[in-house]
Amino acid sequence: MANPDNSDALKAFSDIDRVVHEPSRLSILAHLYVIESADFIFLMRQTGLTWGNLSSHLSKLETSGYIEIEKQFKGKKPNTMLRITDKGRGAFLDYRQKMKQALDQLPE
Amino acid sequence: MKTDFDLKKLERTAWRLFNFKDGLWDIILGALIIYFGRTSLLVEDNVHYSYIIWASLLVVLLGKKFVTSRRLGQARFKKDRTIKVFISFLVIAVLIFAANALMGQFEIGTIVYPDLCGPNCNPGLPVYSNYGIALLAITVFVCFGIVAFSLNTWRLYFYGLLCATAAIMRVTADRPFGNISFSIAGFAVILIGLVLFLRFLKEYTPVSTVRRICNGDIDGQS
Repeated sequence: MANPDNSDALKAFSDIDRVVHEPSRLSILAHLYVIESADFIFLMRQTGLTWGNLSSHLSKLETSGYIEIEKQFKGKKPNTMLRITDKGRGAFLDYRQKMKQALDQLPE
Repeated sequence: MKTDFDLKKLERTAWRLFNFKDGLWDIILGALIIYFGRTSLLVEDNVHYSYIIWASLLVVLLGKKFVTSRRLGQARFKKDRTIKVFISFLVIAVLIFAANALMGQFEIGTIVYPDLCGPNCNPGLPVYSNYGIALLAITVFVCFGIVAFSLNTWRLYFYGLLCATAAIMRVTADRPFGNISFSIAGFAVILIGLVLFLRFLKEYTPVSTVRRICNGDIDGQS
């Protein structure tokens, strides 16, 4: 017979946002949450991800509407700045709250 | 899985990395210390020492533009961080004013610290009582400490200690050591900055090279 406390905790885990939950994307969102904006290189250095890996995760986050990518030119050189959206900010905070609640509900 | 990670610590780490990892600001700070030491207490005109400042500023600006940003990228921090930086620069200005006031360069020095001068006080070159020397050193260290705390840069505490020691040497030691104490401290700070810069160059390869490694164009081990 399933323990009702455990099933509540496990249900809480199933409700979390899988886009945010992936560790690399979580790291990206956390870094963008604490700063105004950053370019690709800065995020790559901060998260420790490879170029291709970071690019792939940023595409996923952009598709989900959690980040916005602003492409501009500095002289002749392209410069891409990344910023978390309000939706992304909300998703990140929601994820943190849900994970905290879910982990707190787990029995010892 | 850790979810309650410290966001403030994350921001502080990003800030420190972005601004101070390359050691360039240490170079200009060292130049400022040398300039301050050579110009505040000597009678003759030392405007040519200001070239040290301009040269260091040029090195820092060019270094940030052509070396650091290509390796670390660009980031914009939030307004409260900008406010903290502004307050830090204000404190630095107060530091310079207070230290000069202490050393009798401004009239306020004799008002705020009336007992600073010992019994054989020479208006041209102040001689400090032990109390005055201690107060000078503490003021220098506290001001560096305030800046270190607000900028979250711990090596500024060490620089504060260096400058406090230099200040004590300046007013107590005989020539020529007393005269060059700030220069020694300044060069030590510049040297630390250069070491940090070289370490930074080794640790952070240019991004174009990183991309070529990721694409398999070049061997990442070489």
